Amino acid sequence: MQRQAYAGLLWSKQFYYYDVSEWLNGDPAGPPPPQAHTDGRNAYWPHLNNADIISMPDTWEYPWFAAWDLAFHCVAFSHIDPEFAKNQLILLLREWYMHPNGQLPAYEWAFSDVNPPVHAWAALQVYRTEQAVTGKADRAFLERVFHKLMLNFTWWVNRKDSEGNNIFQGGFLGLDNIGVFDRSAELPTGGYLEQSDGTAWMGMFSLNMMTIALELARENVAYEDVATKFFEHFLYIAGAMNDLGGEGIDIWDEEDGFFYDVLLTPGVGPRPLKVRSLVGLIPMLAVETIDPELHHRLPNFFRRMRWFLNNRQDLASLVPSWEEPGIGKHRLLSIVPGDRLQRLLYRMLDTDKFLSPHGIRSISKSHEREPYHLQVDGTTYSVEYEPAESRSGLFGGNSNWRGPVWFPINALLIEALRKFHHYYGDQFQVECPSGSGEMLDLRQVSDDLASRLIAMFLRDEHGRRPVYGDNEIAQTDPHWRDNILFYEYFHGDTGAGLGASHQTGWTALVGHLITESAADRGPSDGERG
Amino acid sequence: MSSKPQRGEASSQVTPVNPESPSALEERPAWLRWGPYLSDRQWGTVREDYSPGGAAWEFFSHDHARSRAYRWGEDGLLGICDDQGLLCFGLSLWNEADPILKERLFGLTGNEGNHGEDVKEAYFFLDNTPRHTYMKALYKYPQRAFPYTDLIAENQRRSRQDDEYELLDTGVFAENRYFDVTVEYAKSSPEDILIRISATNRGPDSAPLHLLPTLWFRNTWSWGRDDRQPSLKAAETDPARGHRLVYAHHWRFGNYTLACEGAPELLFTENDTNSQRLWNAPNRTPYVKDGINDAVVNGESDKVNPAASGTKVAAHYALAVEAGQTETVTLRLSHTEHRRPFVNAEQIFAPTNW
Repeated sequence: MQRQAYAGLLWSKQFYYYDVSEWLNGDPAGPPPPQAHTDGRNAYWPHLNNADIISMPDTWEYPWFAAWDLAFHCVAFSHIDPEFAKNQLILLLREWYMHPNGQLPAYEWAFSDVNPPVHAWAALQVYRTEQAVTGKADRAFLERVFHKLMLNFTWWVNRKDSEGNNIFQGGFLGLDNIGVFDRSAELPTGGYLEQSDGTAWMGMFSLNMMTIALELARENVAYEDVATKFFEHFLYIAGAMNDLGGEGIDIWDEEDGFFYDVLLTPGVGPRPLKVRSLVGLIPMLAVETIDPELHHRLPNFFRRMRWFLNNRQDLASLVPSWEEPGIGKHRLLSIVPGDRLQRLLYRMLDTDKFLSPHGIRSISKSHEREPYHLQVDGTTYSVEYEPAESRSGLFGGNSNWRGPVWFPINALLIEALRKFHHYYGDQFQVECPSGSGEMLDLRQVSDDLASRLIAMFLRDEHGRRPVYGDNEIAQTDPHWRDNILFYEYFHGDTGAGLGASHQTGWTALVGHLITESAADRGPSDGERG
Repeated sequence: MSSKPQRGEASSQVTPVNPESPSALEERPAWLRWGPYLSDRQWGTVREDYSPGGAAWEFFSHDHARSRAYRWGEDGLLGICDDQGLLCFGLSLWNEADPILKERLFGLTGNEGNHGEDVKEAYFFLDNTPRHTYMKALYKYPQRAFPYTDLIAENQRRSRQDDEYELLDTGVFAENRYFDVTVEYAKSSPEDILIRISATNRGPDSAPLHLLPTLWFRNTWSWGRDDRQPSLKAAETDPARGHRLVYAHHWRFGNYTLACEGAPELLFTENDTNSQRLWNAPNRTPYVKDGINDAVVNGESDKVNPAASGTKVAAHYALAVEAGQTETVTLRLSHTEHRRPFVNAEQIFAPTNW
């Protein structure tokens, strides 16, 4: 199965050719294109000039590169061809891809769309995988990526924090129809949406940048103060997410124990949109641990940090873990303090809510019985649990984030849980599934999630692969049953494959999960379920 | 153990790439010069769309794809190309029931599907190595007429509340009346590729199958930017040698040779638009992109070039595959010409060589 996942990943490389200036203006041999073409789609990207081999999400359904998909592809690629993975990440940051203002091109339908900033995360993953497998730490790669991502980070801060309050917008952020409204369009209410996920992604981006800078600072002190810059930026964002500024834009809902998008409309107070979706879980992804050994290597970074925390007690209270070294004296940086983490996980690991037999759902199954409704000027906007294909026309109705299981976020959640475990150790336990009485530490929870995802493609005790649902030919015919398709997303109740059928782009992450689960299961914890 | 240098190793050999592209100054490993880089779909993309309203799916349809030259890329069935997408190889099939050759995967556009765009074919990626020294994929080709109109009509009829109507739902595979067509590629060196196509009849009766391995150049010459045209030509070969040869010449990388096992008929045309069919306008060239389709499917032999040259060529193997049997055809695409191209084929396909 893993072999087929990687085969699909490799088969989905494609020659991609697009010179936007030539395309906008047309060719000498042809009639000039209509003015609406020349001034229309992608007119803002005339510098873009691509003629490269790129890893595609699906060479039929999505035969064009997609920035955030590609970052996940590279993580899968890092196990089989780290050189290619590094080159792909660098490619997207080159001058003929990245906009001069620092934005990454999203995809050809609209290069200006905004996807979650996962490039730094992917670069770190690829760097570490290569280091683990080959023993080679490619600092030059990390450094090249880092400089370009500084521009990208600044683009985000200048463009997507409209009030300058460290709370971010960003639009649909890759999650198509997950919101109450089309999050890329003008809101029907006017005003704007302070986004839980947008802000959390930026928290994660800051931490990833800090980690890269710390890694580079091991051999070059020039990176020490830029590490400080990202540390402090992270704290501002974490502070804003927990409403420390007291502006009343509380993304965290204490009563529900969940993060929500907050709607800000002129003349009306802030209104949380109480949809229980991945938007509320994404804050968990902003987490990093710091190795105590760095303390001796980078004294200036730590001196500055101590000064900052002493002088900003309000922010320091957010990272109490900073003062309480965890297992092996590791330090933890996270948007989500331990008590809130417990509450989020309680909901996430509830089989009637987020936890499906095959991974974490994109919205809670509780919305099956209790759809979310919002009244605006006589119109009702609703979000219901839709475990299969989309029932609405948002984003062409081609993808569905209102129930199904998606690989990229699940892989990120698994990794975040492992980082939390790195700090909290085996003592921090949660009930998994919630209400089952079974107590697991966070490493065990992450393994449980990974095995649920992996099991979608394997034969179960009845010899059936969940991914093929009730498709009898694919389940039983000897000439079909062992040819596996890696779909775009999966049914929220059954794990049956949905959407694009050859998305061995990010669904090839199953190969990554198999390798990681096998590699990290050392002999000492071999008895763990 | 092979005595050859380890295949697929990171190599110091570096191949120059398109001097016009911004990535031209980057170095790439020679083993990555060829790979599965041919797209599954170039029609219906933003790049091919010059409409005023940006209706990409409608501006360049699947129905146009067989007749109309692409500006920005190529597509084909389980194919490969070089890393600038200049020389392409793909599979083409005909079951004597379809109205057109199966040259590319069919699917519904974003506006035709009840849940958006969706490929409606059965194909699987089975193997591939990081340097593409071995690649294997499977396509299931029905013996009955492919249900093009049924798939469009039924999905149009269904609403967003309904499930999608898939190829398996149409019953076209009933009684296993289909071929399992497997394509394998194995590199002997970075620019020397063995190709093996195996077709197994899973049905209860003997069935006809036309295998048309196809080699063509991406059209770079019709846009008024660079008129230099590459060429494909049949070589005079002694039939006693057991294969036929096509010479491919491109001003950028010189010569390639495609050796085709046996004595298939070689059908040549140009990768140029059939404006006559699409817009009732005169064609730029006497032979056009769908010439091979018309010659094979409609028996219009004047649609291919009797001078045996062009920019697109197919080796035509007309087979009858008995129930449960497998027919195999081997080809070799290489930078240098081999006197006996298939003598060590088994060895090159062997897993120890990947």
